[in-house]
Amino acid sequence: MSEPRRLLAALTVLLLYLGFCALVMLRARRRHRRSVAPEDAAPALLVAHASQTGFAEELAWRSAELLRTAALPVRVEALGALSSDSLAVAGRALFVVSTTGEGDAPDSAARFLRRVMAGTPDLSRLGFGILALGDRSYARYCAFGRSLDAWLRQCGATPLFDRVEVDDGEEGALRHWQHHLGRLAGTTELPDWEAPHFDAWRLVERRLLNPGSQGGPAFHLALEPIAGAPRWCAGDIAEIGPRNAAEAVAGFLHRLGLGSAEGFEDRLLPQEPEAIAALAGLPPAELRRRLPPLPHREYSIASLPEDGRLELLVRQVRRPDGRLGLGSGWLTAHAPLGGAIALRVRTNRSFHPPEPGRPLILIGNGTGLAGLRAHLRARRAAGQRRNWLLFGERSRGCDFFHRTEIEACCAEGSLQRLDLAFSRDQAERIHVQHRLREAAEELRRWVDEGAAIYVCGSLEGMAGDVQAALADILGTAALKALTDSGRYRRDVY
Amino acid sequence: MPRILIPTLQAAPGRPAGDRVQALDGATMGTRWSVRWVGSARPEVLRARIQARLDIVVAQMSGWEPGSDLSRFNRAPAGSWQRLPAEFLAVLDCALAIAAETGGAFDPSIGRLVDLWGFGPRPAPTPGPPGAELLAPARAGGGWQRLRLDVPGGRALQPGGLGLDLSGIAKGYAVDLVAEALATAGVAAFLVEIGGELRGQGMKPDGTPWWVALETPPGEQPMEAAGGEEYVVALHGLSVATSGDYRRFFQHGGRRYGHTLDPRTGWPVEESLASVTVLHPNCMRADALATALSVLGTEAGLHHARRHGIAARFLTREAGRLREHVSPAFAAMLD
Ligand SMILES: Cc1cc2nc3c(=O)[nH]c(=O)nc-3n(C[C@H](O)[C@@H](O)[C@@H](O)COP(=O)(O)OP(=O)(O)OC[C@H]3O[C@@H](n4cnc5c(N)ncnc54)[C@H](O)[C@@H]3O)c2cc1C
Ligand SMILES: Cc1cc2nc3c(=O)[nH]c(=O)nc-3n(C[C@H](O)[C@H](O)[C@H](O)COP(=O)(O)O)c2cc1C
Repeated sequence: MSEPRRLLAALTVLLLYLGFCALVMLRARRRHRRSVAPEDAAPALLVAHASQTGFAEELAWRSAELLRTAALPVRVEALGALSSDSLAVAGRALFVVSTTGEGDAPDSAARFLRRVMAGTPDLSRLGFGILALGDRSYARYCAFGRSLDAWLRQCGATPLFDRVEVDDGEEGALRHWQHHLGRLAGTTELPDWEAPHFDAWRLVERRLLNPGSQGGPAFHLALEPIAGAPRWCAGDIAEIGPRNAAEAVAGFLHRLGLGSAEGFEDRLLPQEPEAIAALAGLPPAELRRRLPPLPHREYSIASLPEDGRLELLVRQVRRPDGRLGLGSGWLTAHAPLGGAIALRVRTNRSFHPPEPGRPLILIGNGTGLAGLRAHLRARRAAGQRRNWLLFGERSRGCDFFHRTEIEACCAEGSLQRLDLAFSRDQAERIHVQHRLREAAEELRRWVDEGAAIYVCGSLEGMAGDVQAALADILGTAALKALTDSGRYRRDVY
Repeated sequence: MPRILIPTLQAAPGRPAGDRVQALDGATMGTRWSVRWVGSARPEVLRARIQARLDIVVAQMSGWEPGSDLSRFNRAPAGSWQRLPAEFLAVLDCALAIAAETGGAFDPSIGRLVDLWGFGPRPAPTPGPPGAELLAPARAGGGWQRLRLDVPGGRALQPGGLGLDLSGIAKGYAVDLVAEALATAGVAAFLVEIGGELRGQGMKPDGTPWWVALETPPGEQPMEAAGGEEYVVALHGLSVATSGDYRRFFQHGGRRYGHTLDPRTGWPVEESLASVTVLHPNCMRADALATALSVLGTEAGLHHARRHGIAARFLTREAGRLREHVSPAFAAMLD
């Protein structure tokens, strides 16, 4: 068999190379989640509901049930039964509330509105989360959930995560709420209420972005739809249906003394010896029936439909016991190249692009670059050049994801300012919030010009510190005004 | 001077990731593989990763291995659903897509015909071209439309007597897998080759991409190309696959028969086509398309390449000399 002859670089080649580099285009990524340790023994977590026709109440109970399966003490109350004092000492509270009438609170919340929300009690020791039910076809969408949110903040309470709004019972948003419940409960294995209806996509590219990094490996993944031409928008989320590695299934069945059997790749396999022992002797079909399906995972989409592929930036997570994370392990290690990936795009309106004409400030760290990258692409495609990116990672040498592409954006003028914070490249730890403070003057100028601020990345640390920096630079009232007018948006996890 | 081909619409290459080029090679699938890469990744580590990927392809898709999933499928009783591993399914799925796109010019169910002509794992039953009495049942046993694939269920239906042969595509897939093994090990610049199919990424320490010369069949008269030159391709985010009858053929009765069969007739394709080269980001596709286009022949092949935006170059023998025809997507990459 003849080997192809390879012609080594001729004189022309260096010149050509310059033209070659001009052929910049795309690439992608996205994010993942981490489990969070449960907080110290605290009073039972409060789940309060305000419902007109019963949906909010039902969801409150389902949330409580889910948290209890993770052994978290929970109590459920009607919002109308709460007082300022009970809220002040509740520790952590989840509010599941609907909006009715013309943007009104449900009737059952009338007493709470009159007696409690009329004042400004000190709730500085309360951490809260809100699930706001509504319907976009009404002018004042989720109005009660939003005003409850604003009031709680005003009383000094701390959001545990951003308000989740549900348009007409949309399941994707409800799964996103469950994602937050899982974090509160300190587990990532809570079963989905309603399994997403996934489509089949094909994994066409997988690449490690940060060889040699002190942080976890981060991968660029590209997927193509197997059928159709799905649409999505910058800011949207990919819900993934993870699968078990073939070896994990084989190992599990082996421990039960079973040979190979089908149908376990999408089941949650217990790890503890007692849990496995309890399943001994069951025939495979019954065994499968007893195991819950694997829960979904969410990742920010890092590309646009026009790119022809859905790209993600996924950090490979390793659990304390050494196993890879359910979703990230599947995507970054176990799924075979060319193989099918179960995926559904979830519309995430609260992180859609700002209206054209506004300058855009993109702030994020780590895999948060995924969502920001989709926005940057959308802006370039729309000819919107007034963009500013603040990105933080560990080291410039290893963790400057998509560096070539970002630098090309700077060179062509679609990225007018770039601030990088590499925390481990110098003795003191520098993060995006520090860069933000250094650029306070310019930040105010951009905001005066009407800029929107989009934050994507880790909820712990980054999101809170960035928010504090923004509040210091712009003033709390101005930041609140930006929030209310949709000019300050977050996709943090 | 050689003419230069540069990929369009690719990601810009990252800067060189190291100052030395390392190399590894070995044998697989009855041919050789070789990998060159830039940087300090350790050869022992990469060799193990590469070998693991190659082993997957051979264990699943080799007709030479009686224990492979492919051999098991080929032996399976009529009407039985056979569970297939995900990689096998991915290749079969792509093979069927290309079969459909090309009206069966590429056909993964050609195994029995390949055996009959002696290009496959088993020796040919007759010395010359097989007679009609042998060809008819072999053709009836094939036919990609008879295959049923259940991708979500991870299985395929053996309709009875159907012989899969993935030799025209699995090698390309193996190149993609090895490229993925390197990319997920953090290697940013590499060139992978298995038996003449190549895939490259990134650039060398001197800042140049992997330049690869397109083969011209050996022992041929000089070409009357558009300029008569050679081509070199910058393989960044790109694969190149060539299908040619000069690599494997047999001679009988003064005629030369290439190893590319036309599944629609059961006969080797016309010998006037010397080679077809396809450039595509994905080596599996490039590999299968090169075979499909040689079956289609110059005219229908060029038409197909034009319609589907495939970058392809056809070398034909005309009046004892080589002539070249290129598709618009190929021409678009020139200079
Ligand atoms: C897993 C595996 C293991 C192998 N092991 C061995 C081995 O041990 N020994 C050995 O000698 N060879 C082996 N081969 C085959 C060997 O690698 C190559 O000779 C063969 O792949 C042809 O490669 P090529 O580049 O010459 O031709 P390509 O152009 O890449 O492919 C041509 C091959 O495709 C098939 N084909 C022909 N016409 C069609 C058509 N119309 N549609 C679909 N397919 C068609 C035929 O098998 C033909 O040989 C193996 C192949 C695979 C995939
Ligand atoms: C009469 C009526 C008025 C509503 N008005 C609003 C509204 O102003 N804004 C909004 O976002 N949703 C509105 N909704 C939608 C509800 O908030 C949504 O259906 C919710 O899921 C109901 O939850 P519940 O059963 O807990 O009350 C209205 C629904 C009804 C039936």
